[in-house]
Amino acid sequence: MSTTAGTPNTASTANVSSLASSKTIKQIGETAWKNRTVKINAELFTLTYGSIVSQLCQDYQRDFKKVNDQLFSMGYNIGIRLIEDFLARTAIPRCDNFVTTSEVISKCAFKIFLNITPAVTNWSTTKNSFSLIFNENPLSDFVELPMDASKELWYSNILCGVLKGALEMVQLDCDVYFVCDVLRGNPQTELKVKLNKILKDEMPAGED
Amino acid sequence: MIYSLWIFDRHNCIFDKEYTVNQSTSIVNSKEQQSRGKLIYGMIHSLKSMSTKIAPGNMLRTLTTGKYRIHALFTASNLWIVIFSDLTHHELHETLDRIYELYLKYVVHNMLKPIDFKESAGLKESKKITSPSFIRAVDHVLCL
Repeated sequence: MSTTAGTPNTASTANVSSLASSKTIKQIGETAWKNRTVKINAELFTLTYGSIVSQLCQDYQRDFKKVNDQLFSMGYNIGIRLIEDFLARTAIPRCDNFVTTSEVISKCAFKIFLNITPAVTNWSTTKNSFSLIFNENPLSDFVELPMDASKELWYSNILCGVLKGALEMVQLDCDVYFVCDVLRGNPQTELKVKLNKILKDEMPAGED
Repeated sequence: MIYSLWIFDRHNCIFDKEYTVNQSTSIVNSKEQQSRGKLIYGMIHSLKSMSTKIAPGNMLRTLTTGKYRIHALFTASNLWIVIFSDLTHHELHETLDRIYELYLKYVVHNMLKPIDFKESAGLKESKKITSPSFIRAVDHVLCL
């Protein structure tokens, strides 16, 4: 019996575990964005999302906490599917630490799906939580929140859900939430990702 | 000659198909294969963790025995796609990638079906991929 365990050879299967340079991750993201992504009109996307949020506000009679939750759960359901899409496009293996994960999220995932690269900062001392700072956010272009919404609504909360769902599928149990948003009058848009624990790979029931 | 195709997700075997009988009556998701599925899972799981332990970041790709060769694709979401073939196929990784794309197209992108194949409490048998278009497309990729 012989096993062959080849080394990855193409850029898309570059070994992330050995990546001292985050350049490779950036390249993977850019290649996937250029070659493997179907683009749609950004304004159409922005307006569609806007109309979803405004419809939700109407449906929940401006109970913005419920709107936040609903956006989050919509995002979650997107995230658990989107991760497969992401993995198929990039062929990235498991990251071996959370720092790598953050780089992949910012330079690959956001690059491929939204063509933005949020900055990763505010690491906790234990390296288990970080912030993403959005200098641009295609979801919230042209948006102004009405007075009553600007205190409670997290307009782009769907992003939190997407990240939560996607990370959960690669066995990372995280809390994802917005800390501040320019739409609320804060100086920047900041999203926090906090790792709770790494879930164990499940083993199927063995022979009885 | 392809002998069989297996797909495992985080919880269980979610698809298996035998090509060894004649093609029109090939067996999909058969019950008799369940125990074999567990054996395959066990074997690959051990070899996979062994090869990663010996060289970190290393991945199992193919495995050759006297009579057959196993080709495997592992994703970070813990999906395994495994093909058993005869010894004439040296590399099937493009085929594996194509099957992953089909999985994406017919299973992941199908919003009407749940993405998670976890056994629900009331159900004794585990869930499988049953989409006929998926099976047809897979046959197309494998049998040409």
